[in-house]
Amino acid sequence: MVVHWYEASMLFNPLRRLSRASMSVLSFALDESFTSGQFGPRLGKLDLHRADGSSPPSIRTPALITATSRGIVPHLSQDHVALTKSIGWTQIHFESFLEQSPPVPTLQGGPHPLHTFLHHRPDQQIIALSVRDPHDGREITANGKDFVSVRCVRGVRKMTPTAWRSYVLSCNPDVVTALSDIPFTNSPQSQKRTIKTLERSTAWLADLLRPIDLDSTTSTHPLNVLVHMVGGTEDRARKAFSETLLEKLQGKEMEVASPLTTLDEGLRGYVFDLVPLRASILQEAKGNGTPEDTTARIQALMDVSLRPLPTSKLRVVHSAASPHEILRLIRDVGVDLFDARWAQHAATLGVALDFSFPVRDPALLQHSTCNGPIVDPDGEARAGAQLVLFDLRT
Amino acid sequence: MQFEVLAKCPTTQARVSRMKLAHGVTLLPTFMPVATQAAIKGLTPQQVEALGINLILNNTYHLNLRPGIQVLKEAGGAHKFQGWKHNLLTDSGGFQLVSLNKFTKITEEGALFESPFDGKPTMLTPEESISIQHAIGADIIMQLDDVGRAIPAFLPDLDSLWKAVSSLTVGPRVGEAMWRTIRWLDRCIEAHEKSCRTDIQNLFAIVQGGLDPQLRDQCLDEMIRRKDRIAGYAIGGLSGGEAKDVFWRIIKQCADKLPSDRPRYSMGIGFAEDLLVCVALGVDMADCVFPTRTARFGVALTFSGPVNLRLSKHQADMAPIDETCPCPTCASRTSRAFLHHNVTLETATAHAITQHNLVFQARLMGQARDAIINGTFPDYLRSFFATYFGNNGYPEWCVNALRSVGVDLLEGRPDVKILPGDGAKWDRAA
Repeated sequence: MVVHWYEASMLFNPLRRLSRASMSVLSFALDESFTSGQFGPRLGKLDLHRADGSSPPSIRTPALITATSRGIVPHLSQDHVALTKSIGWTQIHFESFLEQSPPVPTLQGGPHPLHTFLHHRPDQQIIALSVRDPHDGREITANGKDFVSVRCVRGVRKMTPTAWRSYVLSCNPDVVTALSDIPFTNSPQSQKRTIKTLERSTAWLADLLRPIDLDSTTSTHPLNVLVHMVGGTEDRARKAFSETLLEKLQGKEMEVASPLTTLDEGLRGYVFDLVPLRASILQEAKGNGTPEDTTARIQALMDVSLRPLPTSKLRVVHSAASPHEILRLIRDVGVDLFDARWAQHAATLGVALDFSFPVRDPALLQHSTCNGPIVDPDGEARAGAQLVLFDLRT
Repeated sequence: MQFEVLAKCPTTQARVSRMKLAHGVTLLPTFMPVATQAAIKGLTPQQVEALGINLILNNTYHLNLRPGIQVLKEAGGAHKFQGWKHNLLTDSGGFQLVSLNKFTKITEEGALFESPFDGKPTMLTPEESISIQHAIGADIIMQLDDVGRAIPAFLPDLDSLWKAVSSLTVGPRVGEAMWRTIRWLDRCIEAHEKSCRTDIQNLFAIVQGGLDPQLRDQCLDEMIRRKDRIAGYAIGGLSGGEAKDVFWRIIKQCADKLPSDRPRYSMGIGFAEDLLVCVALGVDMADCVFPTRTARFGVALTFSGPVNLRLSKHQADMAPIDETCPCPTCASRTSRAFLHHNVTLETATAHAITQHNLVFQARLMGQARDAIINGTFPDYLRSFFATYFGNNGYPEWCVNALRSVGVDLLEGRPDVKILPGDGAKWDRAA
């Protein structure tokens, strides 16, 4: 049955979609016996509890995110996606749906419209929704005071915080990333531009964290929200953004975001998109004429952003450049989720990955200065990729 | 091969038969999907098997070039190479030589062509073709035939190829090709019998003669004389752009004369209406790239006609392609809107539509078999055409062809339009 767009806009009432029954709560708990302070390797467990009972299996972290293209896992037909247990946290970006107005997933209906439309399984997959493809680093029209520029096949579109909030409420993703002002134009940014980044990103996060009136009298905030740690390569900007998240809300902000007293209270975790960050770092390095250990620089910037913030919240990295970078960020920062885009892209190119970790080849091991692996005492195979923790601190 | 006719349609020439080959039983009539380079594009062999398909085609021309005979022999044959456990049919490589190669010269010895990879002049003889097909190890192998086309210059699009080819299917070249095909058949039979593989690989002859009924008749006579050394007969030299009203008459002429205790295979037929007409005329098997290729291009086949998922009229349609279809795509209720969003942009969507189209072809033929067994095949034909073409109009050639075997498509539908030409149905923008 075809739904014409004008009929659809009358159906398009987000409050009709969202009900208490279709809400879900993301919880993340660190395993205290395997943590090493604020920055260091850590084990954790992610759970998504859905009120309607379709909860997916726990995810043991560090774990991998499955990257998608236009809402689906590239190249895998649905029956194959259904066969594997390795696809858990699934990162979807909304921008391709702006090719039609209204965006078609908002017309789907049901308790989990985005899962249903894209044929992802609520009992297996956590859908984490952002507006842009974290891996798309192409130059794009600048963001504005009230919008993020997004890219679809038909060109650049504008996503306002209001529209984002209503799409999110219509589609019911399990986890959502707030709109952020991350410039994709030349680095370094002027101070004025950086200030705008901080102000906009803060305001847009606050807008998403406004309570949602459901079917009861108490307003609650049931979305599971992540935020990009903005600030580019500027330590001061990063520190300022983190501190803003922790500031007690006052006046109008407090009314709007109530019952939250700080923005951080409404957050489940922190996201770092390495594509724009790496581009900024490389541009800076070119200016200085010095070669860069970009991973070390990334790690230092992540430290600055995370230092003021609670250790116990989820840390997500998109577009790590290699398995080596993943291991270093696990060791030096303590990152919980990485996307598998590098590996997925290798498959697209026809490259099968045949390395293994930990290294078991005696010929290679004899040259290693590392300690042996920490054995997970309950010995369970971990969901998703097999990531084993190595204590590389000494 | 064990071949047994199980049921005959009391009205038309259709029949249901059972063909037992080295890799299992296939019920006929059937449609064979084409796994050109040892794969149905986008699908694993397990996925193809799960759709209920048990006979597919491989192309000798492509496999000979890549991976080549050496690799195939080391792999233990094409079944093992591609992981396909069921029946395989290979063509001889002759058609691709003419359609894909710039400079192919047909001589009595064989077909002389340039390798597309290194330009080396290479000769494909009947003996060589059989030898390659032995290495591939398909359950049914085809003779090398002289398709009867003059050397084509490279033609930029299918339309020009069809135009060029249609004009070359009459004249002395066609007769020469027909007689050569018979001589090459003899050489193929010799080469095959010498190999002692006749119990596991079954050689089919290919009837040629262009669009000339006399030439066709002579070819039929000669090939039928060799019946005891041939496992089945293909009807070749068609589906090259000739007028449909001529096409069916050649099919009918061949099917009427060919022995009933041998399978009949019309090469390169894939449109639903074409398949059903051929079945009514007495054909048992057909192959075509159409259903899988059109899937990748965004067109889903249904019993109400093709659905072009690229059209914006499907953009907000939350219904599946076909509510009654058991394919993985429809059974999971994948919406047309979702397919529209990703069609031609994501390979996974090509896979989804490919699975659907293969199941459509299988249902088309499966329902035909059931109807033939139940004696209701004429009713099936009438209801298929009514649903598929609806008020668009019936292709005139279908009406003519089915009338020739006792089925009046117009019965009960006196005011349906009759369309000249091929009358194929396409999904258009709203």
